[in-house]
Amino acid sequence: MKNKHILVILVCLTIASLIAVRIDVYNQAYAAGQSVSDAPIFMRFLGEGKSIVSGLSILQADRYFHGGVGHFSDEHEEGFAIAERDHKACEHPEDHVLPEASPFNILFRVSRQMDVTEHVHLHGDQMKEIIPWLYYAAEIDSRNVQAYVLTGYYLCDRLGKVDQAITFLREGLRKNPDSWEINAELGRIYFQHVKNHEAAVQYLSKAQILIQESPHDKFQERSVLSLLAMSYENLGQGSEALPLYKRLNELFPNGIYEEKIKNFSS
Amino acid sequence: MKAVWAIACSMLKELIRKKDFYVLVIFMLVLLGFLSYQNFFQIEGVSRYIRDFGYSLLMLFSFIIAVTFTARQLPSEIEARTIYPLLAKPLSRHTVILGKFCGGAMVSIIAFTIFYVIFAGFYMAGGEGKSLILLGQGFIFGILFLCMVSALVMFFSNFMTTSANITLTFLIYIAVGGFSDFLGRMVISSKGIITALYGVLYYLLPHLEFFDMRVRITHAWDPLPAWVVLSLVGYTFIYCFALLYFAGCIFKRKRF
Repeated sequence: MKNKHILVILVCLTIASLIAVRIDVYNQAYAAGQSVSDAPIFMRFLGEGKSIVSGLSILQADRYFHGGVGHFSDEHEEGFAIAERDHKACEHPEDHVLPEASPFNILFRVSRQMDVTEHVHLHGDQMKEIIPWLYYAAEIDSRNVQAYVLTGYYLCDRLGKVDQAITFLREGLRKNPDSWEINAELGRIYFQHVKNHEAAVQYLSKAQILIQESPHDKFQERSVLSLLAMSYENLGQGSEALPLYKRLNELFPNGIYEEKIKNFSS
Repeated sequence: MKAVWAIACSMLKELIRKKDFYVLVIFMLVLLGFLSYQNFFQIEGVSRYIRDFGYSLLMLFSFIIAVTFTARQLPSEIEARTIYPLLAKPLSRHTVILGKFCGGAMVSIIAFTIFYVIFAGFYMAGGEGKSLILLGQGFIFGILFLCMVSALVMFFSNFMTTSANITLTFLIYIAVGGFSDFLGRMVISSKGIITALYGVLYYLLPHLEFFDMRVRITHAWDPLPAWVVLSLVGYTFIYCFALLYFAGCIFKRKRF
């Protein structure tokens, strides 16, 4: 009787092991087709919702940039350039003011006092305050390319952490190998901050190829091509820069690239 | 007053006995400790997001304690029939309501004070723009907020079950936070009967969003002028008085 029990247990264990192997093989095959996820287990529970949370984290970074006040829609609905934003807000201050209420209405007066509506931007060392939100945006959704690019920009250009920016962007590139944005940002940092033009060419060339495969506007293409052309120029490879300047001239036929084209053609 | 104090003290004992409060304190300590030890790219002195999380957590936890403790008081007394010996004493129904309100408010204010001390420790530990005036205003507003919430819950508990009361209070909290700005705009900009409708809603709903100092404390904005603080003290007093008075009137009509 005892032997029978042991036999049943052994048979069950053998069947369970065989099933487990099959499941494991299936899981491995499934995982091979998926993007690599290094996210902690509690982040994985978010499922596809993580892209929403990640987006909200970027919006929160924008709020922090404005001292806790949301100006994202005001600034982006008309597509203002960054430098224009303050100027535009000052031009039309009436758009940002609530309609008048009776001066005797104490509730409205209190409400106005409570609301923080002033339009300010973080500056200098204060810029570090937005980094946690950008970092978490990238951590929550590793496919959020914008989070990597913004973090790279703020770390490098505003906080002077060039090495950390490069490491973080490389991590982003490992998770998003087809992103022209991250390649372009890495190329820009190598060009502008590290002055390593060979590395800049490597990343910007990749960005140039990838940008053709995704929707983009001519300003985005210009940002990649002009940096790539200048990198070639600094490496003394004028022949490589020439077709890039020609393309830039096609995109923006305002004459500013014609001299370059003339120089490299001769 | 002695009777009110006795009823309030019995609720305080409940806070000490319950484990919910200790769990929340430990959770807050662990979370804020974890956040302050986070290292983002070797950047030192990042503090605003810790303040943000800290303030949000302490307000949420205090709100939860205020709502759950106050909402249980009357229905549980009626269910357990312990209300009879209470009503047999020479106490008016308004005194019972006031005692229950004071107990709920006191319990949540004590919990809030402990949460606030933890938060103030993290606030003072690092970061720029530290302001004791802002910290003080945050504390006063927290107390006013909890009084308002306790009065609201006490009012609802006259004609609602505990779970319905908790749900409705949470919904009001969320709705007021999200839509009071919209309501205010509509009161000013709309015309005719619609204005009256929006006006009734705007003036009747408790403006819990007035007590939220999160943005000011997190981003080190200027403290509020004294007249605003005094106005809010007055507003809270009037609103709580009205709610408790009507709660007492409804409770008076109840037959057990």
